[in-house]
Amino acid sequence: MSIRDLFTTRRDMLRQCGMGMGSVALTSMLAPAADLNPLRPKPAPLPFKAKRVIHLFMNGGCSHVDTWDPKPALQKYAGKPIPITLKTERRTGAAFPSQFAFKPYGKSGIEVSDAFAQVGSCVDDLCVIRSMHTDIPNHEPSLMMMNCGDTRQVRPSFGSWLTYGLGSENENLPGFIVLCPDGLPTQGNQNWRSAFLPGAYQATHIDTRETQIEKLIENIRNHATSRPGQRRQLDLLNELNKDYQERRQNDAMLESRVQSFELAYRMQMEADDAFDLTREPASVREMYGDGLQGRQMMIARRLLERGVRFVQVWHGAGQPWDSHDDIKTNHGRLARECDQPIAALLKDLKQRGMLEDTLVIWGGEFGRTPTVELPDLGANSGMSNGRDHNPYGFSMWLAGAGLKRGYVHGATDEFGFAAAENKVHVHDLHATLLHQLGFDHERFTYRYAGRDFRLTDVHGRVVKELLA
Amino acid sequence: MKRSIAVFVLSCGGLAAQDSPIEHFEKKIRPVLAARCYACHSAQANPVQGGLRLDSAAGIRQGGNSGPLKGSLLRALSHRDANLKMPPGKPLPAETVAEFSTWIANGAPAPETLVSAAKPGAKLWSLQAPMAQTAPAVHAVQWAKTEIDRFILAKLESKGLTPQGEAERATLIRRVYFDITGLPPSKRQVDAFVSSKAPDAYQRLVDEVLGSPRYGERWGRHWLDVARYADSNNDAVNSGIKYAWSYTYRDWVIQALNEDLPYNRFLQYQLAADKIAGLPTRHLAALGFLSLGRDFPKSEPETVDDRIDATTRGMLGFTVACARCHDHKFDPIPTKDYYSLYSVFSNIRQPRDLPALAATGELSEKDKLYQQRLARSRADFEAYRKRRHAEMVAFFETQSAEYEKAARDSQGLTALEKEELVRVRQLNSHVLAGWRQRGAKVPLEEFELIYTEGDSNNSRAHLNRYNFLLAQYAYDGAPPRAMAVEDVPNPKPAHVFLRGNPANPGVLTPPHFLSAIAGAESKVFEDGSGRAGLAEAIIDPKNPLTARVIVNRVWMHHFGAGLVRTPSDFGFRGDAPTHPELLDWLAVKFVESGWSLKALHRMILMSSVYRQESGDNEAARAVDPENLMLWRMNRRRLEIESLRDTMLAASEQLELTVGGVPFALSAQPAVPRRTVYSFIERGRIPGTLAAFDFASPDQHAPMRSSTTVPQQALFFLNSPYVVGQAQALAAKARAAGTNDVSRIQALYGRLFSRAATTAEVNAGLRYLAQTELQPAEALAASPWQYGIDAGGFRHFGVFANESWQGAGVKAALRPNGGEPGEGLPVVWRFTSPVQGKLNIEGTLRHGQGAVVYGDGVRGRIVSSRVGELASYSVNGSSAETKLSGLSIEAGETIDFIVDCRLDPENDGFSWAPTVRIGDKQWNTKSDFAGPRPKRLDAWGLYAQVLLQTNEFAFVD
Repeated sequence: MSIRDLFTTRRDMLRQCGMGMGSVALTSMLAPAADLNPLRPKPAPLPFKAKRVIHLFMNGGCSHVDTWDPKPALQKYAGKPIPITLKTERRTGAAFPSQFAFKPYGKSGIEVSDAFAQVGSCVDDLCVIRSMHTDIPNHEPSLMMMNCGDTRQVRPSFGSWLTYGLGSENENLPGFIVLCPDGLPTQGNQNWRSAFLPGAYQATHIDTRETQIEKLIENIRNHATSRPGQRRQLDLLNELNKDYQERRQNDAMLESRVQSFELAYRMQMEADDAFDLTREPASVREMYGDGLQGRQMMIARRLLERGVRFVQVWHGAGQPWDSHDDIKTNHGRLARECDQPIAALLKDLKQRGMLEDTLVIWGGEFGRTPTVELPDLGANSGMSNGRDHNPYGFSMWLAGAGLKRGYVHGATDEFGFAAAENKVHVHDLHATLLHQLGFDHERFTYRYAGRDFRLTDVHGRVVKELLA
Repeated sequence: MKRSIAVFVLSCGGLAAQDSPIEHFEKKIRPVLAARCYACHSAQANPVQGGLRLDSAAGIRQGGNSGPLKGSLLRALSHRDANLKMPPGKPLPAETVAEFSTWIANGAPAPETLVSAAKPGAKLWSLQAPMAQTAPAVHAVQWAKTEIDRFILAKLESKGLTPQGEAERATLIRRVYFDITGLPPSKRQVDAFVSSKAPDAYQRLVDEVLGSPRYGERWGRHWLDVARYADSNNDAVNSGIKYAWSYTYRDWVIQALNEDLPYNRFLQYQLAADKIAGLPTRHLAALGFLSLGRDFPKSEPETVDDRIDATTRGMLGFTVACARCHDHKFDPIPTKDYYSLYSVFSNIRQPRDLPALAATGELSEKDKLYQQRLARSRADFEAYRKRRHAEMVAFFETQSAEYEKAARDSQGLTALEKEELVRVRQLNSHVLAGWRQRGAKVPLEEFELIYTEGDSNNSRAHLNRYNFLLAQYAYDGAPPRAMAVEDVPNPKPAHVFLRGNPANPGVLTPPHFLSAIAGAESKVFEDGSGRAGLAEAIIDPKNPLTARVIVNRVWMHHFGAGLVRTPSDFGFRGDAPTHPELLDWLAVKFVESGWSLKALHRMILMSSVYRQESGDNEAARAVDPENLMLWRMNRRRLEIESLRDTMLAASEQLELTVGGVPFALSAQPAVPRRTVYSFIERGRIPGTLAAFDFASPDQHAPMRSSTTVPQQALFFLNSPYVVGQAQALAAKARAAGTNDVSRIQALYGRLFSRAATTAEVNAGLRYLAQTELQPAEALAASPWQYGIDAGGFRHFGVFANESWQGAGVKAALRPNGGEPGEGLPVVWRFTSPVQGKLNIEGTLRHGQGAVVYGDGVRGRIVSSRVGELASYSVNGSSAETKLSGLSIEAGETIDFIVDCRLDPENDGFSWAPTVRIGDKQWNTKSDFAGPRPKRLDAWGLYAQVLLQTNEFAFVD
């Protein structure tokens, strides 16, 4: 649906929804009023491949050498020190071989570990980056870097930038939605803050463990009266507002507020629909599985389908992938939870033709060490079978929206400790994602406190090699 | 290629002819050098690359390792020599290279004083002292009652525009009340003003509102936006501990404004109240300005940056924080100015015991108990440090051989090489550094330099526990204390952090004021951290920024937009003032008046500009659509504080208690206090505030944005708050009138301070006649009740922040568990709707994190028919709470009770029991719900519509 179509549809909807007496006289002033809505759809400044984004966040840091980056050398060096030492958060020891078996998948033959066997079956649609790197081996700054492009300072998140740049294609739903079950990830709302951008661009967090709509979106449910009763209230409201407005000509603010009530009224229905998974056919529900991750992936797809610009799906509250101990058990469990749902999401998007213009991002805030983490009081539970944080090298994958398919970009060193070939910094990733969305990351700016700010600050280059 | 350069040289030479060679350098060359070359080729580079410095005339003359510039520069810029491509990465655009050709051809001239980064600051309007101005002559002398009016009118007349006439009195009084107090006038006040024949009626109105204590509550909030005020350091997820005494700063701001504390003192006390001899203790609360910002426990530079930013943008309207990594790109702020302020703000700390703001009399039993707990918490931490310190020393002793070897090997290594050695061998650099003198025996005071990451986490947990207790004590009614700061005993001046990197120190920067204002030779602040000197420099009447910035902020809040529309950026990139002479006139008058904000308000309120109508004027709009010239008053939407408070005022519920401990905005039933007193959790602003453009306290906020989003409408349509207010209003209206018409009139009087028109009355009557109360939908009755065991089950009074709470009791129940109060066990009461076989499942968990203290909690399951069914004690552990094979009668209650055992500290637990009876099941978590939503009758629904109208939300 083009933006123009959308606008016509909205206008038609306003008429059909029976705005009451107020509406007829007011339609002529629709355009200026719409300009006040910070979420109105805006065209991308440059040609684009992606219209929306879904970011699957493996928070805590997924181990690349156990999933997307096979390192046979670790087997050879098992239990022995490796010739690379890099400063990590905690002390690590000898080489620690992958806890999962790798094998080639698909026509491309890209090797994936059996932790992600089902996503592996979609590998011909994926663009795997094995040479990611970031700056700091701690969760907080790395989360901020991945989400906001800066390790410390208060900067808007990627999703906020995007909704600022493109608005939302569905004004009845928030433009930027974060799904996370059971609470908030580490760093909480800062991961999706709008910082100095207007508050309207901050994400709405939804606890996907909840099933009641009013716990999903604040004030979405009307209890004071029935739906027709609320309609009658709005009709009276429009009548009173019309009278007030006639005495105050040409004020877009007044009209904009009138419209916002109509939008809110419709949003109540739209939200019901978006989050009601019983409307999915049984075959689809089966494909996603009946776990919590399947539930959130399905919600995510329904939101994308309805024009939400940016959906970020977190694996869970806190930092679930942070396997300092027992990585085999813990990573195994986490991957089992999301492998099928993520594969289902990819297939589902593809079947619906949405993968063409949806950018799928998978990854954590950093990777994990190829060496084993040593026991330390108060920091882990005293075992030597996990991995520490690793900002020097890790894997992510992208899919859809004009990116190469069945492709591996870059490589880490022999052991998987640091990115070595065709390195991609998080800034470069951001620059590339913005490029696919129709923005030059150097020119997509916001003036604040005397400076033009960018998501990539003064860094970043578009990794052209990733583009189909 | 050669030829094309020659062509460029020719063509640019023509341009250069207009500029002197030095001007050409300043305009075309220097900005490029600063942007693309100085990182490696200037004093800020470490080390200077290729022996070349481009930031001094001498360096330019001398050239670098590749020889003089004349031969090497253009070759490097051309990127044709594989060994010499400059700048690295993308080559400069051809036209820029051509400018360099011109420059070289000119003989590469550069001013001798190049290095001082002297920017053309002298030309920045805001750095010139405000000039005393005479109000210009105007034609419409009748309209121009005050000098302010003549400045505005002269500009309008020069464009052939006329301003609006004076607004009707009913409009005017409403405007003044909302503007100054954030609350509407009563209908009686409006009627009295409208019918007053007194010639000075308006003046008296102005004096009256400015004398109201409500003034400080509204305008104090404006300052709290500037001061990024919040009641916690962060959101709860990140151990966002409440600040115990944050409210004393908020209350100080409100009181200071109400007392019309001169603005220069207002600023001075916030930076340096502790430095002023003889100042009453209560003013120490002002120092909250420095201590309430975001605190980054792992990164001092961020904490200090926040203070620098809030101070310089907030008080000076200058974006000094831009100079953190490099000289300010646009304004005359060199990096060393930033770090001289860094020297001021990094040398302060919170005193161990915060100063009491009220005389502490006899300690109550409760006080004593808290004191004991706080002391115990401190002692626990000390014991932990001692124990772990001994263990670490012992551990390092076992590594003696390695350290001995490393100490030998590291002799003669550079700092960087030593660092590498320490990292590769996984040693502790602090231990190694002192190895020759003392071996492994690092003193206890230096524990933090040798501890492990686990110790760091545990230390933070200990500190959090202490602060948590302290906050609990404060919220439980401890006497107020100031969130003061003090200087550290031995202040150390900071170094420039080259490119913002603390590991990369540059020149030493003792504390001094901005060189753009104080001059390059500005004197060093001598006293301690230098805060006193900084405050003096900011409030110096000769400072060109301070007065201008505040009069502009005040103007902005009165009119909806400032004379400078970038209120915290008076630099080159900010907007120039629309009325520079008026801005100066106001600034000069303001300082002359003794920095009196109330005098400033009075001047503005008395003007005709302020008293104008807000109506449209098509001709004026065509010329000035943004109303920059103020041809009318701007219509304003009420801020969320006013919207919320006005609802309470209209239903006569508003409690005008001043100050004190913050309340929860989401509480049901609503706390009927002014919104300014609600709890602000940094990082998690209540949804209601966030939806309405509340200023984020993450950083200094110059102004709030103004958006219209459906979430705002949803608040009016569905929030329990608005529904509750509608119900209260309807009750008042019903009681007020004898018939429907008079009831409608009563509502209009309360909400809009006016009578309803006939059309409005008729619309209301029609609506009421059509609307019947919908029969309450049969909401499935919940079997759960939430309460405490106070010698019997008692319902919790309050639902706030998604949990049931007792007013004044720390006991709470959340979806996933809760916390018992002292002597007050928390209880889920399940009343069985059916009879059958009963099964119960669940896991009771207590204690997370490394620091274990307290004695855990006890959970019990008690049947009203049978008595206690089970009991479980957990302390840093969990228990399966599984019962089966029981039977239950309809109407029988099962209580799930959790108490705190003996020790009332650290009793947070999680428990979400499931009750199964036959094939039915209930679960405390998935069934968890707040108070049952209210349904409204016809009058309630009608009142709600009036609350939703534009007339309620806007002020003309």
